[in-house]
Amino acid sequence: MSTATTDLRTPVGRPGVARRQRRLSPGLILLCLLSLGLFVWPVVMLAYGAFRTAPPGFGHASWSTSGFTAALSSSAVWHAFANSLILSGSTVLISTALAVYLAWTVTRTATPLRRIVTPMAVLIFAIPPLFFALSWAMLGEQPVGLVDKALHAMFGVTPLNIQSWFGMIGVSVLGATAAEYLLLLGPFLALDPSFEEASLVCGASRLRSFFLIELPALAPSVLGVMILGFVLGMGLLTVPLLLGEPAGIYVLPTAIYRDYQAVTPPDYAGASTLALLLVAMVLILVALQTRLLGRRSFTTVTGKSSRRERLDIGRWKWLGTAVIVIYGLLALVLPLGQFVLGSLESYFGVYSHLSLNNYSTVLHAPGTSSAFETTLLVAVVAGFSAAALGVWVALTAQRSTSRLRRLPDLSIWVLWAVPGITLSLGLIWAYLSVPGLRSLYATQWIVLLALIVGTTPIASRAVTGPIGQISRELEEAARTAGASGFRATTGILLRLILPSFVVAWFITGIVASGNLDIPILLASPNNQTVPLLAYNQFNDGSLSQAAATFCLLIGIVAAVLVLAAVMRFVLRLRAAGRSPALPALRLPVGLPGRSR
Amino acid sequence: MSAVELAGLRKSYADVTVLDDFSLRANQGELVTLLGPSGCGKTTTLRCIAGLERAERGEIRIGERLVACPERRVFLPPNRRDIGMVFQSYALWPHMTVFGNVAYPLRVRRRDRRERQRAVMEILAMVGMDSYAHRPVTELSGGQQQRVALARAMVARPAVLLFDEPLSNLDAKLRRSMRREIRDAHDRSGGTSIYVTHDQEEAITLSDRVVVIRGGKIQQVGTPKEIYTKPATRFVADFIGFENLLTATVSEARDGSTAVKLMSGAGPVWTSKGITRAPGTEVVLAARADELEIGSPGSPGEAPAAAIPGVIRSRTYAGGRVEYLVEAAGAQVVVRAPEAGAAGSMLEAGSDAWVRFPVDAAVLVDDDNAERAPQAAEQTVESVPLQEAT
Repeated sequence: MSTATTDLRTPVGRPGVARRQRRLSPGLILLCLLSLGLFVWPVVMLAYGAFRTAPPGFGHASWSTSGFTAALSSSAVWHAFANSLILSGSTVLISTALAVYLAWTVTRTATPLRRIVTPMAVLIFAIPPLFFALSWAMLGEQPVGLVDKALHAMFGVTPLNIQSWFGMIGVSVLGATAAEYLLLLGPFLALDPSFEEASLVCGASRLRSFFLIELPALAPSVLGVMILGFVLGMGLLTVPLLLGEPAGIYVLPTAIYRDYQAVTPPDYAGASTLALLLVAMVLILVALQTRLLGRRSFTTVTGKSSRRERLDIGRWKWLGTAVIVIYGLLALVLPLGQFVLGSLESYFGVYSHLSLNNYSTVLHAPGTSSAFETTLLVAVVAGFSAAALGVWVALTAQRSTSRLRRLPDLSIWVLWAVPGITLSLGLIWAYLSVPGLRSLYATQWIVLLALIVGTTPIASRAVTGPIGQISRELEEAARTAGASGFRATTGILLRLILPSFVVAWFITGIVASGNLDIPILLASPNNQTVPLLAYNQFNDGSLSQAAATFCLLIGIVAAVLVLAAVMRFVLRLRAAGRSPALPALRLPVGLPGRSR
Repeated sequence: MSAVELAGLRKSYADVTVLDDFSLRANQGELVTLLGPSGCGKTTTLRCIAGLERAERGEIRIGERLVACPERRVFLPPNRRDIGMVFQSYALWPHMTVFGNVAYPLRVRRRDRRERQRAVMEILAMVGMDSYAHRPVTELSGGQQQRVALARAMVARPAVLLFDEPLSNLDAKLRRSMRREIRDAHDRSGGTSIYVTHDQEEAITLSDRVVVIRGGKIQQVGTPKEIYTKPATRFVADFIGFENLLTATVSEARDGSTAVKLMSGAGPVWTSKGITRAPGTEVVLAARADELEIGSPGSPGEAPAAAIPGVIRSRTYAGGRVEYLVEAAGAQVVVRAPEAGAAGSMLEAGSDAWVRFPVDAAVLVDDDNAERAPQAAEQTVESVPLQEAT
């Protein structure tokens, strides 16, 4: 998912294929235009917006550098910039250390409870970031939050003010750790076990082998994950919005939001300038990473079964268990408990008279059902479209031989440079500037379109790797077996892509439905999504209702996750009992020339 | 000093027993090859010696030291066994240069920098890689990586060198030259080497002793010549490249020689090689295609006595020799004869012919009911980077 660990190499076309596809196909032209329009246009418009006196599409605008220079000469802006660096930097350092430790514990040691880490991380990843910000805002709410109350009862003081640097970094770490752990799990598992074995027979101990061999060999992956985490941290809106802003701590995303939404008249150029600052920061980081690592990735997969013995670290394993338990408590149990409890309270913080009244209030409120409908639409349609776009782009980059084949893929890469709310701003400028699209403004369709754009990078990362691993020879075998080009593509290629497509759809659907950054700028009150609804309820002081709304959403997400797990299990059973078709696919790696 | 001794080793994965009561001794200075089809337990044996796998039962000794014995709760981890190992995938660490890889064993043994430098450059010069010392290993070709892996295994002068099919990823020509280099390296090291392979030619040309393994059990131990000329069982004969394995019955035995009749009653064929059994016992007559004679009944010179009549089913030119598939004595017999053989010219497919087993051309072996062993030169599937699509 990062620039370092993802190999974008493109298979070189065979002469025969090349001749056939050398000319630009209409499909490729369409895809190029589509990706330029969807992915590059908003970024261009972001820069454009910084030098205009009014939003695009609104009359009386003229060129001006005043907004730009005013923003750059404001000390508040640089303060926000520095705050962003501090927040993102410290979050990444802490969460990466934690994620590496967890990945190592899970893949290499016999630590008790290690098996719950991955499901836990998947759950945390699937829950929208807004959830953690909201629930910790509630947990630390003085003097009624659960944690606040507990600390008060135990120590007689309330040392914890969640609306602070401490709270912001802590809550960001909780979410970031899960995501980074999931990204690191693959490289940790894929690392050739013979690297470690070779080190052992060379005379190094297990611990030494880890620090001298495994960790350095994983360095590109770890660094890639860190950069990605840093970029996403720079764009993180929810946590600073709920936990930083009340304490007067502004970071770039909250400053952008304030310029755009919270001050009158909105400072469009200022918001755009701030966004550009963020983009510049990201570009520098990516350049730095490319310079440091090139496109190298040390992780090599050998396909050999890793029957390695797990490391016996003696009593230290209980440290791992403790870390897992504490992490689970802080990231899942406490926030969920607070939400469930909070949703049952008639007034937030009053622990008597628990009832389901909030749920009936929420369910009967006029906005609720439309919010759930919009969210469902977004999850299904945006997820599907993003995954389909991702497949199309990846196939084009890998199978076409035209010089333009990489263009759509590169356009998607551009989006990584505009994290979170920056993209929303660019999208607003982009859609307002196109007459036809302007009429869509403030409808759910524009939210949907924006979420497709916003989640395509994720979908693209999810499908590119698997598609790259489908050998061209599989299609060629179908062709030589007498299948037409269409049949080889649909019957073999698309069939093999299907599982990764479904996974990508699933992931993007969940990400899209929990996204706040895009609806917060693009949606209007009558087509808001569930996260936005909950955020607004929280802002209005209806904490209990916000909790109830969110509990409903999490319930649905959890149900979908369980359903997916069950389906996967059933499919595996069927595949195991029925045809060897899919396992056979993996035979080339399952049959190393090794004897037992 | 550092012989390797295995006694009563047992290892299983889940419900599959890979090694059962496996005992073997490799003497100091010997290069012993473990030869067998894939899945026979040879790599597991090697990994148990390295300490990368734990056996459930039995003893492993390296020199005087007991390094593994589950019954006595002895298990020395790999890093304390004083071994060097060359992996099938080479397992060169991609984040280090050639020098870094080779220096690593000395680094973890805390040798000082000067000595490290000297020893590494010396061993790199030995494998002809000294001019590549500061290249990243990822830029090397397969053969070069192989040399670096060899240098790394040897640099700390370990007591035992272990080789896990190190040549299986190289092409045939490179394989032959690397084979010589490995043998040289072994001779120079003066230590004990254990070498795993499924390639019979490799085993024959490289080793002091060959151990043929099948299904986790030793089939035969012997010098390359013993294995090549006197396989003990039908399985070994098949695996070592005997093309003809014909079921036969002992008809006569005297002075250490045995006569057998083939299933069709053809014969007798006399040989003094292999097992001796009482008349009436069923045995297998193993013969290499190169050692049989073929001729046509009509050709000048009489068909020799004891020749077996047959019909040529097919003929293949095999570069300087001609390979005939002959249906004779109720079986398919493969014969490879010089281009201008007894017949003076090539025999035609479909024509009548006779096949003769010269005295001592064939070996009598026990029939162990082996299904045909997998072809020795099995395709080694190299790792394709395929990640879990989850």
